[in-house]
Amino acid sequence: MNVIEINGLTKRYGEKKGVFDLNFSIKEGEVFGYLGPNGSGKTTTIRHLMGFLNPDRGRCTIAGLDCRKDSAKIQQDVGYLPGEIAFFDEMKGVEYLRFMSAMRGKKWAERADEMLSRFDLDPSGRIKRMSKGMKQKLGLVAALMHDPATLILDEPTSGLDPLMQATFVALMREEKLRGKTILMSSHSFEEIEKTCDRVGILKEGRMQALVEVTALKTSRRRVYALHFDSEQDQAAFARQGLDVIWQGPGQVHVALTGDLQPFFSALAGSRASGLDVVTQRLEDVFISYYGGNNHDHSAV
Amino acid sequence: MITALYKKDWKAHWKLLLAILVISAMYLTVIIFMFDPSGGDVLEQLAALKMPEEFLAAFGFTSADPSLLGFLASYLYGFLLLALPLVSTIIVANRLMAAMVDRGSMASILSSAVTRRQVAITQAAFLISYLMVQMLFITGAGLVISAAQFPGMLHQAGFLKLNGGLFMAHLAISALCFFFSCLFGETRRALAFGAGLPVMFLVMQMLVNYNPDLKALRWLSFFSLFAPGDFVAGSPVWLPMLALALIATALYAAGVVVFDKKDLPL
Repeated sequence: MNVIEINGLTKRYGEKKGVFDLNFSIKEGEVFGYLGPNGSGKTTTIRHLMGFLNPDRGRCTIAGLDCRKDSAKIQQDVGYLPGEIAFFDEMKGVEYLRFMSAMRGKKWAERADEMLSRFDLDPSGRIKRMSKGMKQKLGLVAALMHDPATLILDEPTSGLDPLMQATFVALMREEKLRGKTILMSSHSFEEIEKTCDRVGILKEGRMQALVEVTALKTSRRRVYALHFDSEQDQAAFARQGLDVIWQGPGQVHVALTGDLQPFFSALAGSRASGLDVVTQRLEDVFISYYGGNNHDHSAV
Repeated sequence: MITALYKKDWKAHWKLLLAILVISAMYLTVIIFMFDPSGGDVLEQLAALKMPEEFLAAFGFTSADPSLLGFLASYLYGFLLLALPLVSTIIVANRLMAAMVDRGSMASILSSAVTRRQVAITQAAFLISYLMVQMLFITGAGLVISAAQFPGMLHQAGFLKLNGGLFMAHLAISALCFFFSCLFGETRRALAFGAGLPVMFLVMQMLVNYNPDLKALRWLSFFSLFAPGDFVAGSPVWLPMLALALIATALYAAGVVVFDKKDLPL
């Protein structure tokens, strides 16, 4: 059964700003990663799901209810983390959680304590004085504490340190096992890869691809940077028949897809002094999935 | 009406209210103590300050009626008690809606299973009760201070009606501020209109007081529907009061509807 459905959703803010004729759905129990560079329309989509915006065309529904008209009903069972959270200046963290519980007619949400300890957050201080990471944790606690069936999280790990990112990933896996439907946006492929079943890749407001993460992983092109101390060693390595996409003084970038064996054998016979993974832009990941070779790969 | 939100509003705004109440009490005390029951005109005392009469008139300092009620009507209700609560109305109305949308905290509220209509109605109810507390306090303080200083000299029924009129004027103005706060998602614009218009009304009121030839200007300002002199003279005031009530109802309702329909950049 589809929990979230988006049909022909269009909201125009300009030639390339907004979202244009979006169509996708998310099944019950699925974790969906919404990927795209900044300004690609991820947040605009999420604002429609939350009922904050009126679509120019099309509609979206959650659990069969219209996101704009029935937002209050929908949100009884939705947890939301905004991309840029704004709290109330005058409140302490604990007051915010108490207030958000009260807004839902509860004294203290049932999972608030559990979430606080999971994220190792002490909410007793003034929100104003909290660091960016603490605010992000507070937002996550508020989104999760009423144990909603659907989670809509806009860049959930921004501001979290690596340890907390790992905690978050583990928690999302548990939530999935508990049958939650999750949509999370990100501009980092690595993050989505660890948590999601499927990704939608958005660019300039249009859906470029909807892909199973497993498929994307196996076909994913990885780029490695090799360092050499001598020019001869570097030239020798570059002749090994690998896909060398860039060379500079002391450095070679090679692209690899699927089988890593040829790379390892080339490496074994070379005198490389260092090896780094080159973080790729989302577009590059996506291009490699579609095998598009007509693009310029040199700028890594 | 959302109780949790209404309570939060009080928590966030009671300090400002307290400040306004203290300042009002101060003004009430000072002005009431200036009253001279022997019938001497305070204007004569003020004349000693060598201020031009028109300048004083701009602030409503013209006394036509020698009674304590007449005195208060012109010295307090002509300008001071229009301006003072207006300050809090402008600030609070902006904070209740536009500032929360502008800053993004409205997202928290709207993601907690409440309708926009409920939120807007709660905020409107808060703004009205905020105003009511001020009006009740001003009325109570006026009665108490008058009774202490000039026992039995205040025409109480007239005074109560006068305060009722003041409340209606402020209700209409608060509705205007609220409407702009709902309409605009940016503090900057909400304030340009939600503060700009009421302040302009106040300035017009002063201009009309200053130079009665500008009477035509009166009809551009809500405040002219509240004429303190009419309450003192006992002339019928139901028509302007009805007009204020209609303006208030229409603008509050329009604010709620606009907020319910618009795109929120949250």
